[in-house]
Amino acid sequence: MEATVSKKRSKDDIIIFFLQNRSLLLVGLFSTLLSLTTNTFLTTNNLISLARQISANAIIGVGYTLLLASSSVDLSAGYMMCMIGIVAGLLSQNGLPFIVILFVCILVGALCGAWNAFAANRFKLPPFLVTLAMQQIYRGALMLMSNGSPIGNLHPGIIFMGQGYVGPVPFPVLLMVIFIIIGAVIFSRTQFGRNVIAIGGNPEAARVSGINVAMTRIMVSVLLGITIAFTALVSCGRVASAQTTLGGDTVMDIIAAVVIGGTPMGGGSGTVVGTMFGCLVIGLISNGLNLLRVSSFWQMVAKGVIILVAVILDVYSEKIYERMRNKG
Amino acid sequence: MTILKILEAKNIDKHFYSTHALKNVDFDLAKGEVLAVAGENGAGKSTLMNIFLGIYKADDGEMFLDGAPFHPKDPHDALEKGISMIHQELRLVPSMTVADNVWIGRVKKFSSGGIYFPERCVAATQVLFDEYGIDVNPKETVNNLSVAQMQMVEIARAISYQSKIVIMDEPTSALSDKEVTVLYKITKQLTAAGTAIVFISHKLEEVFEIADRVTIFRDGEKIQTKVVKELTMDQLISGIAGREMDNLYPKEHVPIGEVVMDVECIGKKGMFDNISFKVRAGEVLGFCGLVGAGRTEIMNGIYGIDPIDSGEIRINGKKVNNRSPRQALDNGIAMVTEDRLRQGVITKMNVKMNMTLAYYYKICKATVIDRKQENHDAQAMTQTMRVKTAGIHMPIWSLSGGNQQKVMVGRALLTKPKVLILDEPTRGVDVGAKSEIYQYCNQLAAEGMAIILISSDLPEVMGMSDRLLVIREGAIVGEHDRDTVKPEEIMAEMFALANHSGKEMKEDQL
Repeated sequence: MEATVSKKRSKDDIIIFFLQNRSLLLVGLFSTLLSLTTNTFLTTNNLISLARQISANAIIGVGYTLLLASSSVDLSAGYMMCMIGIVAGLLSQNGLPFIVILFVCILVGALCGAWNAFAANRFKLPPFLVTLAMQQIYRGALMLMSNGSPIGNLHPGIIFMGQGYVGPVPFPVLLMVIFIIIGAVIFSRTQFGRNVIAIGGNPEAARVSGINVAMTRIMVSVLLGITIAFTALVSCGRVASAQTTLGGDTVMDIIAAVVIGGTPMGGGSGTVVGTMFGCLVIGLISNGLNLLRVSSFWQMVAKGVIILVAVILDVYSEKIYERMRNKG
Repeated sequence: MTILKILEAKNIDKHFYSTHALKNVDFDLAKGEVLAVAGENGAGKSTLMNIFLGIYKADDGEMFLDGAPFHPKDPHDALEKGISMIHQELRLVPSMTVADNVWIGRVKKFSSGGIYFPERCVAATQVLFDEYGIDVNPKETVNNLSVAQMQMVEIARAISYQSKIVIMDEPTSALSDKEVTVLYKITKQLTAAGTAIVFISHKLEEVFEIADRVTIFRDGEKIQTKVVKELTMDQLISGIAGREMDNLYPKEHVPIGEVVMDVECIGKKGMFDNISFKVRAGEVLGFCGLVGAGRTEIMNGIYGIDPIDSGEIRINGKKVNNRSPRQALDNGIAMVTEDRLRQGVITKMNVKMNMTLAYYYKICKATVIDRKQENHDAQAMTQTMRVKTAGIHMPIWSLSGGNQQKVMVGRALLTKPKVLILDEPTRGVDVGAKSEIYQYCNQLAAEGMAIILISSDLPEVMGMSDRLLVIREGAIVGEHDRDTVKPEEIMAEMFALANHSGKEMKEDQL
């Protein structure tokens, strides 16, 4: 009897090890497959371009990890990013200095984020609904501001954010690393980070233990807004114009990356570094399928499948934990 | 025996983790009788009923319904086999009509060719209501009903199944006298038709008024079953409460100091009113009362979970205003909440993070948590509280209920409170951990902390407290000193037995 129990437990342990490190394992698996099937994958150029591709998503991913860990969600992130890009474009055309553009973009991101969380708190609405509505508002707002056409002639500072190099390192990659380090520190070392996982794990217990749940939620959304603003500048800089359709599918990619990375949809825990690997998984899929010359329509299907798998794995691992808890 | 046993249970045993909820219980119910089931909260009544309904599975034992083996899979299965239940909490759909609620899940009955005819449902409801004298409009939306009317709808639903057995869990708690009379009438009609009724109530007069027999539960054991006519109120009360006081509650006398917390006339609309009491350093102040009497609400008011809207709280003579738990913590009040799952443990966090949850903001340097300090404090508290765990980094769910509760107490203590409120600290906690928690309480009192203890377990709260307050319907209805108190007096106050033992009662009441 004893033996079967411990056998069962150790089997669970193995499954949990795989689930917890699923993003790393997937990265390993995909990289190996791509190195074997193509001779273009393992080239410096390709790897650098891969790093640049994932950097934008990884920056938002930092904010989004905090958000999911606090057991909230934001569907408006993509269009908020697009709108901030348009704002940056308009400010560039008016010839404002870069620092002003940067500041205004961050401010817009922070305010939009604060509003999303505030509205959900104040009117006791699920964040899902608030941000679904806000997404449409941001979309309309950016079309009104841009008259529906992309804005070129961006400030050189924005171009640098998307295309520049610091030594051999692309600036967006550097920015990504900085954000991940800051995010990881906030997440695991600070009072704020602890508050976030507490309200994600059990908001009622957090409140009773003296944590200001409403304020923490607002702060999380503000941080997400700031990461969105940075990503907007990086993304616009990369294509040298503020697009009106940029970021439409970003939200799905980010949620997939964060969940594959090991942050559960239900909140209560999370990992910023894991999110970076999650972004890498998503990036590898696009990159690999490009290298293998698979049509972009099939890439959409593949991404959808991966997202589905990610969510199934998430539910599955929660179930295993639940089973272990009930036994305990 | 000539009486026909409709339901019989033998040697039912049930554990919840380390708690032994039912110990080898036998139970029988005869056709056409009203059997009252009496006992304190947590005595095992609800567990047994839930086993009859198939919500829980018994670890051991057999059940027979009408002589045939009975293994209900779930409440629906139990219902189909003839057991329905009137729940204490209302389970109505507020947006639907009375008729639709009564016949919920049985739309087919009133349908022809897949089309539902609500008129038929209303007519059937009216017939049912007329038969049993229920005065509610079947076409009314449940939203617009009073709580008492809703309860009547719930009752109507339970009897509409024409079950062999109807279990009534505190059916009168929301009813006015008028409706109680109707309920009694319904009960008589049902039993006359051969239905057996299990009647659970904390109002002991009702037991004498309505029941044929009464089964008393205590600590998961069936104490006795008696014919009500052969029983006096005193015998019933001592049966429910009368447990030997053992050494489980090792109360030590400590010198009592100055008043630490002075609560004056606090109130919260619709919950409690005009509550005043003082707690002194080194004192354990016990709060007795039934579940729902307002004990927890009063503490939630003091601790800022549901802030009070009148009255004053003073800590060491200084007025404090606790609008949130954080303010209460800053003012030196800490609370271990009643519902460990909902308001206590964060399952995804480890032991350390759970323990330091209420205080880590105090050990931050420029918002970065001082992890060395945190680990050190958590480690020390784990040892002080004697938490049995493989380490402070173990997940909290790997601990037993009792040890989780020690972590919760540790969480409150790390904030270094002047006043510690413990709301049902030993619920779902095994005997060993219980005794350890209480020993530690004594130690804290000796160090000069003021402790407020709420417990539904009467011997426990009587054993641990220096002074006892009895709460009923949101008011303090009795105050007792440790040395002179008798359990019967407190029981009488808890259950509002106006004619039972007590001149003090009349003074204190209202």
